[in-house]
Amino acid sequence: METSNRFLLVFGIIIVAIVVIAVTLAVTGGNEQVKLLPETSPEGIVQRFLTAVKDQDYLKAYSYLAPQSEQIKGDSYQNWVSSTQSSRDMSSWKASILKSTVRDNNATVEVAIDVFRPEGPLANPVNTNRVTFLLQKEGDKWLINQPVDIWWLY
Amino acid sequence: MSTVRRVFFYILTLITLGILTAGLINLLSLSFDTIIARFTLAEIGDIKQQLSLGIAMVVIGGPLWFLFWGTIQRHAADAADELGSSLRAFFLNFVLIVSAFVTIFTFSVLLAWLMGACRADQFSQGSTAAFIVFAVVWYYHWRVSAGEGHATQVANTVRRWYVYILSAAALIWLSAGLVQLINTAFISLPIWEGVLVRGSFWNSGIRSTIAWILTGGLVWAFYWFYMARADSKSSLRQVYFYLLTILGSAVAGLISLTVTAYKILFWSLGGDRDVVGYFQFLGWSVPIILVAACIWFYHLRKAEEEADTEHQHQLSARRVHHYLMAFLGLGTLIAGLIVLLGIPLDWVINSLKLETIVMEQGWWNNHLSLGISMLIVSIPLWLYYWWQINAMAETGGVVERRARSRRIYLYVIIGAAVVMLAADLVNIVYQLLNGVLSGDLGVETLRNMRWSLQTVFIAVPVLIYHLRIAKQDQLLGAETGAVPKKVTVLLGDNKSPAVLLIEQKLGYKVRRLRYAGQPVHKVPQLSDVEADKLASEIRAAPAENVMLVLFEGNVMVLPYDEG
Repeated sequence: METSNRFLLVFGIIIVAIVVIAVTLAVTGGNEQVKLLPETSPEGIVQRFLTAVKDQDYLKAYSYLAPQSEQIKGDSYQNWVSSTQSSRDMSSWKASILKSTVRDNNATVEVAIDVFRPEGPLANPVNTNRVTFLLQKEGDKWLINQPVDIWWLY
Repeated sequence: MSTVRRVFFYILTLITLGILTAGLINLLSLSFDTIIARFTLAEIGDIKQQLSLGIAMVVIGGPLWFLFWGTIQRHAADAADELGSSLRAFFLNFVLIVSAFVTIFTFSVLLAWLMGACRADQFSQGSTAAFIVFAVVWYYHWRVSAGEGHATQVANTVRRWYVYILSAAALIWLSAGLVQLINTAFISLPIWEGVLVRGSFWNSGIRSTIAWILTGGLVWAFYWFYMARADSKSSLRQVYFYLLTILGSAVAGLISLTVTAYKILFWSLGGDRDVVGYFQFLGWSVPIILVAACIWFYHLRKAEEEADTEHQHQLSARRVHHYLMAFLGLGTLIAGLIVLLGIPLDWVINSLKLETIVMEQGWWNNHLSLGISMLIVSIPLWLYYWWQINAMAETGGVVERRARSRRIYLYVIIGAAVVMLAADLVNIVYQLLNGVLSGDLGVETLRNMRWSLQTVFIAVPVLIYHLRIAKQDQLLGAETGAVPKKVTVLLGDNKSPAVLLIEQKLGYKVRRLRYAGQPVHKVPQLSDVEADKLASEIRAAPAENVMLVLFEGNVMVLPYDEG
């Protein structure tokens, strides 16, 4: 067998290996359940807010936002929903926690949001947005102060 | 007349023609307002200003245009070289392109109106007036251009640009219109659930689409079958064939095929969103594939038919096509593998530390569907054309390996892989150094260089494989003697098969001189081995120029220098 053909064969084996690994991981990873964090923690609130956005349960998502937030004050629920819906498109996404800090009644939760949106043959189809959620404690409940819109889905 | 003076007259002619045209459109539009739309002058608000402007433009622009254009025409009648001059060719073809585009656009609007029962309230006076005026402008300049012929090479080339630009644009209108029509018809089928209210199919959008199909078809037929006929020898036609129609349709068809495969795979893997209208994408993706396939087959066949007349031409055309398709296939294959590699990398990153808190259903399936659909489309395409290319290289020997399209193909891939590797390595080293120096080397660093790792992993084998081929070509002599000798053949019969064989062996065309003395009876014949030997002798000749004499069965190779 010629050297170039041998190389082609190796290349073929690599392709098959990549496909098999990718299919296996995608199939098993797809069934993996995301662990629900405690509702009393800032991370748990951010997770529930994002899950509600994902499920398009806007009433529930809105309930995790701080009513006195500067970004939401004076704005009606209807306006918030319509702006949120206009931000959604057909892209799929996932969110991972990068870092969280709690100081007295304030907390920050840094989240990486990976949005899958193919834009060209050799362009990265995953666009990562880093979002820092600022939360404040009201009573025994954490609420999101900002951001309240979902620009990060773009 | 000096060049500056000629430029001056042509520019002023163009400007005054613009003023005259705008004035005529203005006045004609006003006339339509009163005649077709059945308004009275009193009913049309503020027409005095429009009327005054129109009259002023015609009264000033008309005589000036006659003056400047008349001067040019008188000069053209006196000076024979003016007719074939590049300046005149640019002027005429510029006016032809602009007026043709406006005429086509406005004709399409008029056609859509005619199909809509000619309702007076939907009549567009402005576009109808523009159609009439620009059609007259186009026809006049077309007659002028056709009457003069295309005496010089520049005039011919400029005219070809005009013809192929219009031909390509019309083909795009025709194809886009057909896809749009089928898509609209598909979406309007009464099979989709959840439709609350359905509008009329015969709406202004459909009429406009049909108008575009008819206009595009007519214009394409005119420019392609009539204007571009008997132009098989031109290089621009080859560019039109291979870079525009064949490559363009292949790209469009492959993208649609990939999207179709991706959507179907995603759905079959459990994608459950928007089930009601999910398969509506077939309304545009399948027609694009079909239309692109028709354009691809027709133009490929036509290019091959035209190339049949000359073996070298045919070989070159076939080669260009094979390398272009292999390039498309390889590009898509690489893209698919990069996407698929993202899955294990993402899995590694997530399993190391990062905590996924929300994941939309279909996140992994999206990656998998996209990657696999790209592989489904690209692997057969690349393998087929790459094997054909390898077979050509085996049989064609060093000539095939030295072919410009093969050199470009290899070096573009090697260059792109090197650039990709360099960019990836810069990012990887930067992320690592940054992590070390800031004491933050961890999963986040790995996450930041994920894309670079994906592309590096694919770019390395692609680079190595193509470097080996390039090196193999080099060893076989593909890079040596890349500057071809200027070969002139003196022979009795300029259609001798021996010359064709020599051209094939050399890989390029030779200049032919026909012996004008006594009739030659013995046409020289060369075997394949003899032709190979002769080609080697020409390449090894100690001068840049070689005279090859094929006369009465004898062959002489005479290297010579000019001057």
